[in-house]
Amino acid sequence: MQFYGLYKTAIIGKCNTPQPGYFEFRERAKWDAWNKIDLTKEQAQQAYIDLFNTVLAGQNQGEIAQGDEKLEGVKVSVMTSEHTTPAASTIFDFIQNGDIAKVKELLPCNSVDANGMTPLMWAADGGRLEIMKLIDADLDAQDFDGNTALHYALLSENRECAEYLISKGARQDIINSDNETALSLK
Amino acid sequence: MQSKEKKEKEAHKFWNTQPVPQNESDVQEDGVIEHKEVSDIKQEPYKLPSDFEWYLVDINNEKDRTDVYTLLSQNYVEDSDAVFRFDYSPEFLQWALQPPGWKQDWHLGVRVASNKKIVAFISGIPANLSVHESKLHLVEINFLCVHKKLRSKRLAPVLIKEITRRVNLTGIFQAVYTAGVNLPTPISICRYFHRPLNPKKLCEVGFSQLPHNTTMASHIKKYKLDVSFLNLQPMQEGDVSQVTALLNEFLSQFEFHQVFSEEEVRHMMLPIKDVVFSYVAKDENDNVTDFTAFYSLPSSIARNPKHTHIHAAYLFYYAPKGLGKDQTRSRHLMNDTLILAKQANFDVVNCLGLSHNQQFLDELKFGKGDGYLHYYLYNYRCKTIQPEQMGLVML
Repeated sequence: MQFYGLYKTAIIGKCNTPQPGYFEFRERAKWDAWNKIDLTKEQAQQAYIDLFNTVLAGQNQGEIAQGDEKLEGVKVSVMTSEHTTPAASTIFDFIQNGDIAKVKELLPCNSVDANGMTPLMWAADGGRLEIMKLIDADLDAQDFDGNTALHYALLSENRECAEYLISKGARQDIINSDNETALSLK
Repeated sequence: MQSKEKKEKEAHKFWNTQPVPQNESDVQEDGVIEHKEVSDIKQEPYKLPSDFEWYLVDINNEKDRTDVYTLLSQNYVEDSDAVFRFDYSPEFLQWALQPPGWKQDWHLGVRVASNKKIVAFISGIPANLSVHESKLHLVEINFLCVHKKLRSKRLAPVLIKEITRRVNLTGIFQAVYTAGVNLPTPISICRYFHRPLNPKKLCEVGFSQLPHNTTMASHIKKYKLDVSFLNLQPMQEGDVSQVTALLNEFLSQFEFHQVFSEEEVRHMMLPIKDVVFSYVAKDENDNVTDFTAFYSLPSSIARNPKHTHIHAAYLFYYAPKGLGKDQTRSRHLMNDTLILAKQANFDVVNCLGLSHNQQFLDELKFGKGDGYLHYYLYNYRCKTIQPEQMGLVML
């Protein structure tokens, strides 16, 4: 069952479901195994491998006999995220998530993030054209790397956002700290 | 839950009856589990549930090939959320199922007797392995697939028993196979790693996540590849003999590895458009110094408005100059492999954390996958192999 707990944590993260009823013995045992693992996804992934190798090394032979849980699920592998995502709280988070309602509540907004990025730049970077249309701000503002919203639209391959900015009169000749104009990124 | 529980019990019950180690304590030393003779093997096929019949697939026949392709593309391996499913192309299957020594007898299908529709498949191909110094001539079992609607019919155990019988009749009594799941009893577990080439698309389809507070612009920049180091050229017929020698020498460093004949290298490694990509670097005397290969295995994407497939290149076999002792060279070879995969329009390069791959995974920005591939041997006990001692890549 240790395998099961680590496996669930490695795949889903910390136990996030309600405890099954007392008489659902099997489900309860599975839930308990999962719930008692106090590791991040990443730690659990390593622990799963380590436990496996320990068992194979023959130091823990009883465990595998009990571990008859057939592991289901993971087949086509996808990338695990190496970072945890905190709940969205800033306008920049809401723009990145495309949460238009929240963004509307917080507009107009003149603040920039820790890198000097404006909401318009985040929207251009994330391909959030609808949000861009809600923002009435300086089109040519630059962040601490000298990038404009148009740089971001082009760097992140969001053609429609770039076309929108140009149609609104955004300058194409501003140079960023890599000495690139937006025009050169097209 | 009832049926899942039942399924697990039955799967376990099936493997209890098979010549595989039931747990690690079964494996004190390497060796055959059940000694058998061809004369011990029954001549008649195993019985299928009524309404079904055995069918030998002719993979060179376009209709059969399409039918097997359709079965696999709709019912084969998926990710945990059933979003991505392996989509081996028909041309890929034709290549993968016919290495030297292949037998149609091991391209085993099950059809519905009434409408002749192929609803299940399993295959074997011959291979030579070296396992802790012992040489094994065995089959690789692959592409076991049962139609989703027939999963309650218990066809998989019959398919496994029947292909075993057919293989046994030729005097082969061992097999190697892999699975994403844990069965009795893995000889090694290798993690998947993924190297984005088209990071934006991978985020859009949910294959990877844009880290919080990171711009797409910087995410794309992170994975840009520019400098190439070796002058890799597509492998050609004339390279077969040198590649065979180089590859076998590289693989012989590992406790568990495939051993290739020139004929096998000719079939498995020479480039085939949209199926397998292979390259060599040569010195001034025209001798092959490095070899690298990857194969194309797209995954279809369910329910995505913008994209239908992830085009994944899977790292196949490679052999760097210095055989891994020169780690910089190994990294350069793999860096250039990534560039070639990018040029061929792949979205991602996937590989396992086996053999010497740890030498380049971090530096070349491979990320950890959530999948693990479990390796198994049938009718052969083998002491645990650490991933870095594995030198077998199956398709």
